[in-house]
Amino acid sequence: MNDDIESWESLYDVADEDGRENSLLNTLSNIDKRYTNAQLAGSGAMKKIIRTTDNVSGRIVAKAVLKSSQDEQTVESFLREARITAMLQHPNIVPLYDIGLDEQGQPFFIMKLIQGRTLRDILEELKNDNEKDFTDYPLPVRIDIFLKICDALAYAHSRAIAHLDLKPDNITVSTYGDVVVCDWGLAAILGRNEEIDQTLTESLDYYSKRYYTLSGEIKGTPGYMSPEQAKGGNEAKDERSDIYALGSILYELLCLDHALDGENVKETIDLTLKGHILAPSRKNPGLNIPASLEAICLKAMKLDPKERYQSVDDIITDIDSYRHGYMTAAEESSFFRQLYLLYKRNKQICLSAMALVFVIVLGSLIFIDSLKKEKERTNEALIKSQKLLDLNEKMSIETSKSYFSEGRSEYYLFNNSKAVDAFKAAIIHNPKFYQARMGLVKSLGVQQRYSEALKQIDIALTVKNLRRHNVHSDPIKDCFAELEALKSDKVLTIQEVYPVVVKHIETDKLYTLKSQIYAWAIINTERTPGKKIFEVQQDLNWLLSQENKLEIKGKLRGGLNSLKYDLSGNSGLRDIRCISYMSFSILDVHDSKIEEMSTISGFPSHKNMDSFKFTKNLIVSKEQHVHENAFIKTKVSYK
Amino acid sequence: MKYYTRQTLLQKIKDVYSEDSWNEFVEIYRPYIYHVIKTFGVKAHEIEDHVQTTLIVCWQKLPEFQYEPDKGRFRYWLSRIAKYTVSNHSRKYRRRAELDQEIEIPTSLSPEIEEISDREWKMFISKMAWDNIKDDLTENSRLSFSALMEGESVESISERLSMPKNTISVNKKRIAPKMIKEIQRLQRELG
Repeated sequence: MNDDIESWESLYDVADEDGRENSLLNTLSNIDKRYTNAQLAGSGAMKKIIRTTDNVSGRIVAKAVLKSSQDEQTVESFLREARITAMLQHPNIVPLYDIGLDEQGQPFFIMKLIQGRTLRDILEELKNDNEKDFTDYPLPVRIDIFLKICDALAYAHSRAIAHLDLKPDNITVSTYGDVVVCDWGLAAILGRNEEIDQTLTESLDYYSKRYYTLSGEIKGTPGYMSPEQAKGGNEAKDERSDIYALGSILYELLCLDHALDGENVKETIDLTLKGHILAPSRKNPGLNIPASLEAICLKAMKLDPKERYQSVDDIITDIDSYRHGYMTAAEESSFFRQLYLLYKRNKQICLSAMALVFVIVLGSLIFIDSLKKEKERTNEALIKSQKLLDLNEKMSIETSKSYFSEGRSEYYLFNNSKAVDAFKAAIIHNPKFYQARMGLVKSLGVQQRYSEALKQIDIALTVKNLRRHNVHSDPIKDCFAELEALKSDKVLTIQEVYPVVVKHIETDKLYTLKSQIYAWAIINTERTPGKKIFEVQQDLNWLLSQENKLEIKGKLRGGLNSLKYDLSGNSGLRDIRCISYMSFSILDVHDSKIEEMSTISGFPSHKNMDSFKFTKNLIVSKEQHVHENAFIKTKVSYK
Repeated sequence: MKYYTRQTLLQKIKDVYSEDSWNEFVEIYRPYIYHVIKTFGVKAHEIEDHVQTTLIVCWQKLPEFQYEPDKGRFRYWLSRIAKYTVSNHSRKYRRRAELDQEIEIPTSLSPEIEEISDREWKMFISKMAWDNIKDDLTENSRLSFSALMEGESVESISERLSMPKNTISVNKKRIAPKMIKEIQRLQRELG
């Protein structure tokens, strides 16, 4: 080829030519012998297995041929096996690729070449304590293998074909875990599957029956064959015979020893027929054999086919149950065993759940305990705080009382602004303090702060109502309400205030309040500049005239801070209580017949209740009596 | 026996009708179309114009191209369009829309055009294969092999590059199979 290449174009031509020669189509069309490179791979009683290259598919396959040219029956039987295998297309059954006759007219069939070991080899090595094999084939892996054999048989039975020579030698396990059942040479057609071509069934069956009846031999392998096979003759053989074989294979997978091991073939057959089978766990006590699996194995190997599993699917179901940790049908069930299995198949979940429950219980206990302690602490704190509250209340009441008494002093001293503050303080410390509220009402009323006073009086009355005194109206309230209605932005004059006060408040009551109201009005009324003293004199005269029911004429002199009021000679003047809160430097009342001068009638309940405490000098007639609760600090002179 | 084309690259370009695949298409087939048109005896300054028009027509018509071994290979199809473009050079296809409607690609190719198509294809594929593999070669191997393919004698090369004749022939033995493989690959890819 090299010599042809001398230019770029020639390179292309060579490539083109080469491409054509090596194309698959070219290769395929030039095949003249399909199977070449034969090498003997193994041999059985009647046939040889040859490893050969299939030039069409380009792969290496297994070719089965008869050992030597045989009689018609053997050839027929050989081809029968091929046709049966061809009928079975399942991942766990060796696939058949081709059936044919070679140049010499000898029949052959081609199967997949399985690279691997037979189950027999694996079991032998396991028996010899090969450590590597134990790690490669622990029980779960062996059970996997067994399930694949079951799958193959379940499928074959569904196609109405029984293997009848199932044994570890006929099972190949590949390096990649593939398991295939081989050697269907003794397979029987069960003759009840309608899917199968009738003529094929008949032709196959014709020879098999004839063959078996004619030979009259026992077919199968002692140790794996079922009792009914071992009896020979016309004993019915069906899928349950395969189930027996499956049982004995499981037996061996479990305890790595034969279920039946007679000294010789005859003894083994005898043992088979007797059905004395030692439990796998007793056969090899050194191995940990699950009871579930042992039960499955023994059920499959019952002497009477009726007592065995009736289908391979039942075995598969039971093994799946075992693998998922459920009860198997072959096992006696007990509650604790079921509980144990439940735990076993959900180990992780069970452990987590138990841990969780423990944590929850522990947490709850701690929580309850802390709740208890918390409650105790809360109770203690409550009691403590109640005590504190009580103490606080007591202190508040005391404080309130003290403010109240201060307020009252200021009130009697005509310091109503201070009195308001003190009463308010008393109320803050004890909102239910009725007297303090009424004191506040009076102090506000004196200063003509009627709206505030009215609010307070409402609260005071509510407080009273709470104490179940059925009081809805009050003279002071009515009085202040009317005055509030009169009120403008100017201070109310004595002439405006007096009639309202008199209207609502009885003559002899609340003199302190009344005289303060009058005094405050007179003092605070807006005056005409330059006529201040005169106007005050007019007011005082008017007030006294109203009170004494006849005209009183008095003369007022001096400045606002040193008022000199001369009422002398007013023979009709009998009552001067209404002006008791005015401040006079001199009050001259001689030659009058004053009878009423004290705003309190009985014994004073407060030291500051005395009347005319703001009068510095009093001038009276010699015979004039001065009331003991009036003019206490006043200098009295007689004329 | 027909030689089968897997036409992977071709298929890819056909399927993905985008700017990117246009660029790929132009990059691959422009040199071939150029050489085919050149052999039609077109004036040198007009070649580029025809190549451009041919590429555009090809691009437009590509979805219609059906790979049918009986009707001919992709390179014949390209040549047919190139021939058509050159023969109709008076027509200017300014608008692409017109192309679709008006062009009727001849279904057959005259034997001489087929010959041109084949010859140029051989060169085109061989050169492309050479471009693809030459970077992996040592300088001397590269120079000696390409000189051999250009027709220079072994003696002359030996003298010019001061290389033993033996080395030159060993090189050839080593490089030729690589070239053949690459040519076969391109053949499959490009049709």
